[in-house]
Amino acid sequence: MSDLSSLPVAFDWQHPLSAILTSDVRAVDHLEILARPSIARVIAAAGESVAVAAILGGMAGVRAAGPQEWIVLDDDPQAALPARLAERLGSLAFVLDAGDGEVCLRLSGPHCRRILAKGVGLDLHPDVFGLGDGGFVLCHAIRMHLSRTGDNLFEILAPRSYATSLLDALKRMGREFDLSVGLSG
Amino acid sequence: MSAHRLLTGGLIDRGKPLSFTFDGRRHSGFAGDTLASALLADGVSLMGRSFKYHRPRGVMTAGSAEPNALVTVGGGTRREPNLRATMVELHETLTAVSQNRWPSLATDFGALNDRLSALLSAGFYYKTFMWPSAFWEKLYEPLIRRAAGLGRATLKRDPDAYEKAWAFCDLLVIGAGPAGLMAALTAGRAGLRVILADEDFRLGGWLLSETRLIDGRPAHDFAAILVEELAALPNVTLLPRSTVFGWYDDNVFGAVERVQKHLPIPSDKQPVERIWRIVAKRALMATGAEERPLVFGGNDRPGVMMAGAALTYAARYGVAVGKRVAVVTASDSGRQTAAALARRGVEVVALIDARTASAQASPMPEGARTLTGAHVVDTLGRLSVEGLVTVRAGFEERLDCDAVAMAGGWNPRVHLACQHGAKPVWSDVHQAFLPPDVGPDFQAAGAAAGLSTLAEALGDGVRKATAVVADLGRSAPTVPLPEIDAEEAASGAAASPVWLMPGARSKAFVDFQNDVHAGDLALALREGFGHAEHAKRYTTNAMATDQGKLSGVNASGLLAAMKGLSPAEVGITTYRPFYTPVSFGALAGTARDEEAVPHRLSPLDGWAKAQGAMFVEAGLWHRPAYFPRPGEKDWRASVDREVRTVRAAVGLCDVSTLGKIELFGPDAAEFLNRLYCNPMLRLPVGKARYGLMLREDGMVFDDGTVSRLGHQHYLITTTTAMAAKVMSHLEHAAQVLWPALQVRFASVSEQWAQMSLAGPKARQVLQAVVEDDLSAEAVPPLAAQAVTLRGGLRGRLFRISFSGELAYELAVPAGHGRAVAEAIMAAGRAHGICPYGLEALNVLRIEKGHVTHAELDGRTTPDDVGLGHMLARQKPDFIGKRLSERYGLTAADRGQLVGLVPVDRQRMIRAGAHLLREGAKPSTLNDQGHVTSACYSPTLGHPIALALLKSGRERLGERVLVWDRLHKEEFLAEVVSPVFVDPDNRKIEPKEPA
Repeated sequence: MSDLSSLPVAFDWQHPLSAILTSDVRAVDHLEILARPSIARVIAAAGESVAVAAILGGMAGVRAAGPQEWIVLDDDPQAALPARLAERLGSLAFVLDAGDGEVCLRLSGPHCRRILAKGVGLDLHPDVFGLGDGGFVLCHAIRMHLSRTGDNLFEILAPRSYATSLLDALKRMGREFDLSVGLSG
Repeated sequence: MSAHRLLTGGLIDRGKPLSFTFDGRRHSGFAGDTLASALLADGVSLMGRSFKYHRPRGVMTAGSAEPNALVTVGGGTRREPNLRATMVELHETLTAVSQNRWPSLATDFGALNDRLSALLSAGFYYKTFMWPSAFWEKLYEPLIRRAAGLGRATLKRDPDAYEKAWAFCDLLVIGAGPAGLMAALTAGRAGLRVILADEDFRLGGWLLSETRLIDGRPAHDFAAILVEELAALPNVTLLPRSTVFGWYDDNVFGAVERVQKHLPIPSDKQPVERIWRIVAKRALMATGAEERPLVFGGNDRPGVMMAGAALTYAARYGVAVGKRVAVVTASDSGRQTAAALARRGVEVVALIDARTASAQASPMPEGARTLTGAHVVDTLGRLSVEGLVTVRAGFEERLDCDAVAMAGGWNPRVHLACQHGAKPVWSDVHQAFLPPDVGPDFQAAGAAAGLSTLAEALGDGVRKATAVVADLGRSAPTVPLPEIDAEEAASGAAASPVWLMPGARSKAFVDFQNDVHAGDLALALREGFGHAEHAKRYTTNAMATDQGKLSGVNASGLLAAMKGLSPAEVGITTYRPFYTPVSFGALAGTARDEEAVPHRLSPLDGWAKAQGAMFVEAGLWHRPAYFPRPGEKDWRASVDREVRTVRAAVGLCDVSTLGKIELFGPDAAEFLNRLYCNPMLRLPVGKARYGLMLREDGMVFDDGTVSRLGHQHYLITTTTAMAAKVMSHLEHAAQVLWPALQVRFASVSEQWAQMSLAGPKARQVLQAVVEDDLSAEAVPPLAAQAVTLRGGLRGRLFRISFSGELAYELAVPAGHGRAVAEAIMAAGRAHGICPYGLEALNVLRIEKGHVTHAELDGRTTPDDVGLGHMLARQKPDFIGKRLSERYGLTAADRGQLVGLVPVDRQRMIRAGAHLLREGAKPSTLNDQGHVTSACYSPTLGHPIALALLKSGRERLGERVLVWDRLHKEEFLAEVVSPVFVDPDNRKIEPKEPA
């Protein structure tokens, strides 16, 4: 017989980067690893992209992710974003929970563009890649979604399986500027 | 003060003396020196040996075109060969050694080659080492490489870091000389995003060597003021120590920045070198011009160098290259240089002008003789020049000197503009090859465009940049041109170059690094290799690491003269990246060791590590191969145990790496029905089905499962290796083949941790973790449904089996994966559960006759692998339907999947081995098929294999020869059914409770 008494009543949730060493001191250039954001992918049903865009347009944390596709993010793990969006969008769109499949990183500081230039072949000058702009890019052969969320603030969403490699790459890219790394929450 | 250091002048910091060694001997220099300038200042003129003849050589230039002074710098893991002493910034404790000599630079036994030069003419090895042919690789080539070579690279691991970076700009200015600085300033003031790159560690180009005043101040001060303003502009990026080495498609330029090469000990925070990929809307090639050597007898003796270099050493480094300098010229610039050298305090003893009359009468230094219409026929001395032999109208004269400055005119540095295939254009007016017109995005400016005066260069920089500013829709501010003290008048048409001074009494070198002299080119022409490209390969002219920066144009001019043609008709060899050598470290960047490619970790990676897994790289994934236990001597012992445990009890395997794609929409069913070759339209909600995708050519593309989660909601799985390709396949089908179908899909591979629980006790174990009823009635084979785990966690459960056992695949949100796997292990402990890896998974599926991409290798049809019954030919269409009916794909003698058992049960069969008829001669001509997968079956107790055998299904019971030529193995095997274990599938649903 199984020893059911030793089994957990709930299953812990683990961030793929939970075991990393974080910096003791936050530097001017900093990489924040979001502990457990709520992330949803929204795919408009055929012919409904305008309606979906109109609804999402009034929400915070919406990132364009391709033709008729969006990523919506909320820092609060309790936000239950996929369920809320599914309810709100109804048959207009298909909503997928991506909270376990993606990691979210935020790179901030005066040198963040120079750091990203070591891996991303995209012109990130604010005249070209302005506030709110975003898209999928390659960084050291890792596909990630990059968006500008502030003058010196970029948000990165990357597949969970690549998280360790991407973090290693970003740390190397930021070494010249003493980039610090921290896990939020 | 060292022997040749001038008392005043130069841009060196005399307050910062630096100590260094060359060939073990201690020297000193100053901050701001190069290795070459510091050695010259210390009276060292012998710096290297030539490649072929091992002739003594000294520095020829003061820049990146240097062919002779190649040295090895540093030691241990940081030893770097073939560096140009002219480009090595001096630093404290620098150690340099000369190359390609033994036992010493002054006494080199390899110089015997020079004595034997009559036997070693151009192309000698093509003629001499023809036979016996087997000797070439083993004897001749190693000997030649040993005798003629460059420095030796260290084989130790490079301790330094390298990286690559992207940069974007409106205007890239290549070269920070007069034209480049003015262009960058013009564009920078206009607000353009400007990158100014220069290979030198100090920006200024020729302005650093210029002896005249600009706007009433020294030229280098004028340059410093411009650089200071540029550095203060936020829209301007200065890249000193950065060589733009290549021009690529879409106006992308490659540059290598020597970030820390000039430091004694590099910081570990920065790379030592960085490759820049610069995307420029417009670019200006302000690369200046290279002075052209004169080809005369003995022109390679140490102490003979370019006149402009001699002036640079005097003006920039405060070094007199000799105490008695003779200037040999065939152009006005030689006269000007002679005068400038004298202004810097260098004693010029003679000016030998090959022309009978000079267009310009520069005032000659006091005491210097002028010999017009004279030619140099030889130089005197052994390890350094001690004099010249000149001939004028038949009158021979010896001149004492300890340095010779030669000025044969100027070659615009056109290389970058020619890297897309356009050829330089010969100009009779300029008597030089000028850059081709490659369009408005990339233009030449200043001396690179053929302009010969400083004023012209400064003005051209402003003019070209102004045009770029306007072209990009901005207005340029007025940038006033400076006044130049005693500006030389533009000389108009350039004098005809002197390609070869007649009467040479010793070798007159064209290519100094590869020891190609004028006679070699004549030989090439005589033997039918007179085309510029043929002559290059026949003689090796311009094939050395300097890529003919000094020799290319002279070779072209000489060939033209020999043929009685214009250089325009002969042309010049092709210029390709890289402009100058780039280290392998820089090219690799961060892509080295384990960082060469990213690696992917499963959500169960931490669980597998905690279970002691040994990992294997499968593509980018790190997957558990097996889980050794104490006492197990090798991997086979672990795998055998894991397989036996799954067959007898239960095992847990991580299958998270499978590709997972969710599909939605009213046409999702139709979409899938066309994608897969088997029927999908009537798959019920809550059920899964094995699916086979074909390519258009009828071959199997990938396999996996299709699960219907809702009326318009599907989940498909792919093999790990094909996940991305299947996603692309779906995109293609939706966007190109059937855009009218209303279907949307997304990869959810990363969202779910998925684990396979297999074995007769799987249900009991899983039931301890899942709250739903898992009975055979509730979850029958091929069920696909949502389940609730203890504590309310929602997951997906699939009743599918790859092992042939009672099995489930449980998917949970990835973040919970490890905790769920640990709970299953805890629940299964009483049932003898074990984790199993990729190796055991492979054995289990071979025993069961299931195929993977070992069989689905792109050359097999469904029928080949025993899945022909899946082809639903009654469907109106599916990808691969039409071409799968080709005769070749339905022929009876195609390879068909069979099982193999060795007759001698001790023989291991290897995948890849060929199959032949028993008694046939081992030869691929007799090939009957091959082994696709093989393993030891712990269930059966002997080796087994899967194979593709011609008409295999008709040959069960036959004996075939297994032939593995690589391992020199031949033995017999019996052809059997590919399903070795439980052919009736009874174990999928055990009748009795386990």
